[in-house]
Formats: sequence, C-alpha cells, structure tokens
Amino acid sequence: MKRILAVSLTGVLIFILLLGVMELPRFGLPDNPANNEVMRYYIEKATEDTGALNIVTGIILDYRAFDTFVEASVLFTAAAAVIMILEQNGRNKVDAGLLGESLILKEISRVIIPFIHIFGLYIIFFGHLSPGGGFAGGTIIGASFILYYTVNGSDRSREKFSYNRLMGIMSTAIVVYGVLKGYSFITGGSHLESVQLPLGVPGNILSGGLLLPLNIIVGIVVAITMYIFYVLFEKGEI
Amino acid sequence: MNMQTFSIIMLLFLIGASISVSMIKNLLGAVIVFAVYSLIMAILWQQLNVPDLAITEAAVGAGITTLLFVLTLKRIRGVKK
Repeated sequence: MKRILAVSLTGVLIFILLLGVMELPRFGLPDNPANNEVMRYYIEKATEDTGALNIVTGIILDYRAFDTFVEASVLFTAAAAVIMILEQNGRNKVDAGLLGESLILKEISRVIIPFIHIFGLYIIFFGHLSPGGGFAGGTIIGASFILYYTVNGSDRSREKFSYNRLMGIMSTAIVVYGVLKGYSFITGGSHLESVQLPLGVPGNILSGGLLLPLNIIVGIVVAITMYIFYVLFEKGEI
Repeated sequence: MNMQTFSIIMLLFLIGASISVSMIKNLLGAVIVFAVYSLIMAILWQQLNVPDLAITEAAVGAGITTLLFVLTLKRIRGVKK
C-alpha cells in the first residue's frame, strides 16, 4: 500500500513538473525573455560603468555586488556550521602529517607552493582584466594551504593557520565587504550613486574602483573556507 | 583537424567518463574518473569561450572536489588496498 502511494505520488509530481517544462520558451529563439535589454546594456556599458575589461567581474562585483556578498556569507556560514558540528577539543595527538616524514614530498612542496601562490594571486589581482576572479583564485590558494597541511602535518600548520587568526581574517573580510557594499541594502536597491573609488584607465591593475578590493576579499573568504573544510573533515579540529 | 572535431572528440570522452563514473565499482577509481570528467568539462568551457568558468571548473571541480571525495573515502574506509 505504501509503495503504491509512493509510486503514484512520484508520477503525479513528474506530471506536474513536465507541465511546467512545456510552458518554457523554446531554446535559442531571439525573442526569448532572456534576450532583453539588460544583457545588451551590460555588454555595451559594463566597461564604461565599472572600469572592468572582464565584463563578468564587472557584473558580479558591481551591478550584482550584493548577491556576491550573500554568496560569500553562505561560505562563511558553511564554515562556521562545519566548525560547530565537527570541532572536538582536547584531542591533541602528535601528528607528523598524512604521509609521514617524506623528504621528497617536503622538498618538492617547498618548491611548488610559491608558484601556486603566485598563480592564485595573479588570478585574483587580474580578476577585472582577464578571466578569473576571487572565487577561482581563492580556491587555488586554498588548495596550496591544503598541500602545506598534508605534507607538514597539523602541528606545524597550526602555528601558521591558527583558528583565531583564520576566523579573525575571514570575519574582518566579510565585515569590510558589508561596509563597502551594504549601501544598496540600506537605500533599497539603488547602489549606483554610492561611494566609488576613481575608476582609472581600464586595463591598468589599479582601475575599476572597488572591484580589486572586493576580489581580494572574496579570495580570502574562499581560500580560508576551503582550508577549514579540509582540515575539519580530516582531523576534527583546526 | 579543426576545432569542431576536437570538441566532438572531447564530448565523446565526456559521455564516456560520465557513464563510467556510475558504472565503476571501485570507489577511488570512480573519483579519479570524476576528476577527468571535470577536466574535460573545463576544456569544453574554454571551447565555448567561457574562460571564467573554465578556470573555476578546473580549480573547484578537478581540484577541491576530488580532494574532499578522497578524504571522505579515507574516513569511511572505502579505499580498497
């Protein structure tokens, strides 16, 4: 009886969802609702309005900056929740690293980690000029932190990435983002008149107003979140 | 060989990888094939002129996701020696 009920409920749900799919416009037609004046405005005016050569960064960190703020807050909340659930105090075993005392791994990682850092920093700092941005660059830097943790063990990485330091940096980054872009929340959505740094010449690194600091902030939050996820899943404490 | 042929070959690899992820019995092997899937997807994003997504896919899909999957397998002892 239960099984029949489940099957019929699933069938009804599939039927309703397929009815919704039939209402969708056909794929790729020029007069679809998605092809409206907003897209054309972005493509024509994004560089002029925001000073970013990479229109994607111009959209997500200027026109849609508040959405990105909430995305960064989602990462922060996820990291905080994982810490709340998984952290166990008072289990301080001596740990020489996942792979023990491997001389080859230590030397190779010592050579390779600076290159990963430079690449991640390049992606973050050129986010408004070339492909990339805070999310991708932050993930790469977080991966290099994870490599350091994996090779050197939790005791040595705890000296560099202590819990208080990581959470302090991450909370400060979120608060700074909120102060810089919270204006539109207070004024009910109109953020185009808010305080702006000078846009500068498009193409220079110091251009695009607030895009560069916002990219750095998002990169910090993403990198620390990735590191915290890995360490907490691995060991249950930071 | 033009770029369209290249894209078609990559798409065939993508389909093969996505089917074999669900078919492979060895969990660690499935995770590795999933990383291959992400890398092919990054190449395809690049072919579709979306370099932003390509970078993010390569970093998150092939890097961090694989790390977390392998870590989870280690925790639940899913890796067969």
